[in-house]
Amino acid sequence: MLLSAETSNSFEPAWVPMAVLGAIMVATYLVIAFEKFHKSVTAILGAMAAVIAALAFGLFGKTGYPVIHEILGHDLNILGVIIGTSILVDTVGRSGLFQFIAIRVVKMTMGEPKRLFLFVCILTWLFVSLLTLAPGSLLMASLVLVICKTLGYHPKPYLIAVAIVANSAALTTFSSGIATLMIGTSAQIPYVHFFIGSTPLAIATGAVAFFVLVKLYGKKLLADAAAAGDPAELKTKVAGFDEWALVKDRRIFWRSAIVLLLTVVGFATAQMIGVGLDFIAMSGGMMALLFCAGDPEQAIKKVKWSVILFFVGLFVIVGSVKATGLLEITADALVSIGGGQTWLLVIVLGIFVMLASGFVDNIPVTATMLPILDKISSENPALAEPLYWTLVGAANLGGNGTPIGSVAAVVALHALEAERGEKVGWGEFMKAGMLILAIQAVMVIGYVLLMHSFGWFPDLPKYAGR
Amino acid sequence: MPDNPLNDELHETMSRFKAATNATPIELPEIKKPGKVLVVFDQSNQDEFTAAVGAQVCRWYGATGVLTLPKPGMDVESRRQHLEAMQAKMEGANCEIAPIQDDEDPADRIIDAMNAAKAEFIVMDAPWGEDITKLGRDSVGSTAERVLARATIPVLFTREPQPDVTALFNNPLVKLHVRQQEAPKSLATAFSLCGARSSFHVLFVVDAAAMAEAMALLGHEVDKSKLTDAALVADAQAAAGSLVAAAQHWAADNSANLDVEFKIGSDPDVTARHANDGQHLLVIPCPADRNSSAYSRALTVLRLSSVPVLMV
Repeated sequence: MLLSAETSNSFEPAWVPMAVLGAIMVATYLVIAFEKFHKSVTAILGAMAAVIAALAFGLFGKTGYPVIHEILGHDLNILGVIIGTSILVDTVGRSGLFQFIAIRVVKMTMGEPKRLFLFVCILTWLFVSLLTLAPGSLLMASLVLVICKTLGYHPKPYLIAVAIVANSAALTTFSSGIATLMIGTSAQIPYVHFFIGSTPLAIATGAVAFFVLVKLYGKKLLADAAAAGDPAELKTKVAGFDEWALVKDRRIFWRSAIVLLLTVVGFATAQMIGVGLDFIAMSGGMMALLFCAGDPEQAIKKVKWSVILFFVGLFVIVGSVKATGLLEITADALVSIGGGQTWLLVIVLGIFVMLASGFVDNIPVTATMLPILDKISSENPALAEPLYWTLVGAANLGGNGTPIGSVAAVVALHALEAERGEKVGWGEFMKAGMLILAIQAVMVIGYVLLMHSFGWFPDLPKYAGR
Repeated sequence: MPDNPLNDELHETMSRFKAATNATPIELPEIKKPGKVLVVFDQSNQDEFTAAVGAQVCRWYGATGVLTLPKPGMDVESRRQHLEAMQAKMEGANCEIAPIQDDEDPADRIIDAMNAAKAEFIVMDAPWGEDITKLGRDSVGSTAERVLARATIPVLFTREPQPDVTALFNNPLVKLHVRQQEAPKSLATAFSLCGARSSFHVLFVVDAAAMAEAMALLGHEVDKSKLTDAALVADAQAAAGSLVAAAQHWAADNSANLDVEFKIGSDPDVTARHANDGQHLLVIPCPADRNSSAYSRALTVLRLSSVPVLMV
């Protein structure tokens, strides 16, 4: 092998392979960012180019092409979790369970706009935490559109709330978002440790987003409600919603609730029982198919195969670039920018990742940063906790800045356009998004530094003994 | 944005919520349990099965069975003997034999017997097996059709004899149409007959052809490319919200099992196949307008079904 992690301290940088592979990676990310081409196809084409270049430069050494399978093998658990949870969410979703909960909660608002706004934020937080970003935000966007149409409210403020609060929710647990899943897997953070380290930040940043959005849209919410008609009439209308209209089979409904609960418990105890999260996710998916009248063909079709291909492409690109040593050099450069100061490193990393995630998809940003943080943390275990927790917060929340920065924003704003023909421009979204992101950036950095300085973060077992 | 796959998912998810928000509360009508059930025999090979079904109805309703045998040309004594034999087979049911009348036209006599006994429910056969080949595939028998056309009470038609009547009654399938006036009454009748002891299946059949036909009759242009399976089911789910909610509330109040299914296809074929394959007691609304195409479809369902069909 020309270059490898084992020889990282003494290698002679091979600038040409670095430049070529680096250029392939950057070009791929730019095409993804500007959506010039389907992002899964872009990632696979980028991966093919990276593999050809890596083989041409002999980066995979004597082992040759099978190195690609080793690279993918490290991340198979992520793909397993995505497939398993997709099957679980699709099958359980058909029981009407999520819709039942959503309508029950909406009825508690009695149509009062600010209370509805609060409950939309809470439900977004709950569903994204449980179901991950894409299905959680799709469910909430649909709910908002239907409820607002029924009550005569304008859905835009509610959908922007879904788009922004979802990103806070995505960092609640290890499995709430793809980025958290990647980080948790790479850093080998136990589920419960992840919960302890990340959930307070998820709640705090979500609450800030809510208050800022109420400040920005509060008057509009009230004005819309006043124009919509007599509050007593709206209250009666909401009271008339019937959550049972969505339940097709009561036995399946209860079984779905149990399977979902067991899966969440399984995630929390996976490490204790000695299995990976992919095993739990697959078990949850299969239990749902067996006990919740799942249609295997339908559920398997609903798996986001384009996302799987996207990941395969990214992992190959990042693995190939890593073999050049470019990411190690970047890691060294990052440490030198920090000048040995943890706080400076946290700030630099936090701001860079937030900005990059806002404009490029946060998945490639995370995929690229993980080997860099692994290198830094292996050499400086004291930096592991602050840097990984910064990446958790920044990669998830960075998407709040722009209308294309996160899956939630894309889903919510697309829903508004598809159903109402109304577009939310970059300026309009960024007015709320950037303000919230700025506050959240300060919160993430402050939270990480505070938790780190008091030693409140749970240890990262992977680096603890070094 | 027609090409974005997100649109389909959005539409599907929204339709489920629409079902909840559109679910204008409906109360299922109170169904008075019949005191008298008219059980009609015709000395065919289905009579024993008709007796078993009649007995089940009488037992479950706690009603009295009124037995009749309108058969032109059959002497009174033979009729009495046959009815007594059938009465003996209706174990556990309180039964009486209706006054035996002259009968030129069996359908007229059945309606007369119904009025005379003040019956509120009829159990009778619609020809099956060898009889149906004589009638031709498009008919369920003129007597059955004419009784149905004139009866204002539920009629339960027995079809192919089945070994386990209780199993059929424990497994009712109620086929509904989302915008059908008779749907709540059909549901309520099924609940009233089978009660919480049964496992209910509610089926909505989404018939694209029938929908396009109805829209055309109303003068609406239909873009057939938009009538995709997913879109049709999503719309049906949204429109069926009130009925589904009413059914689920009844099931919740009575601790009964109930599931709801939406299927795509030609209404009579899908309904009959589903009922036959699942060995259900089939309950279908019988439109008040006997000249409507919905009524013709109900008759076709009856013709294609091998299981008993309750037409409400």
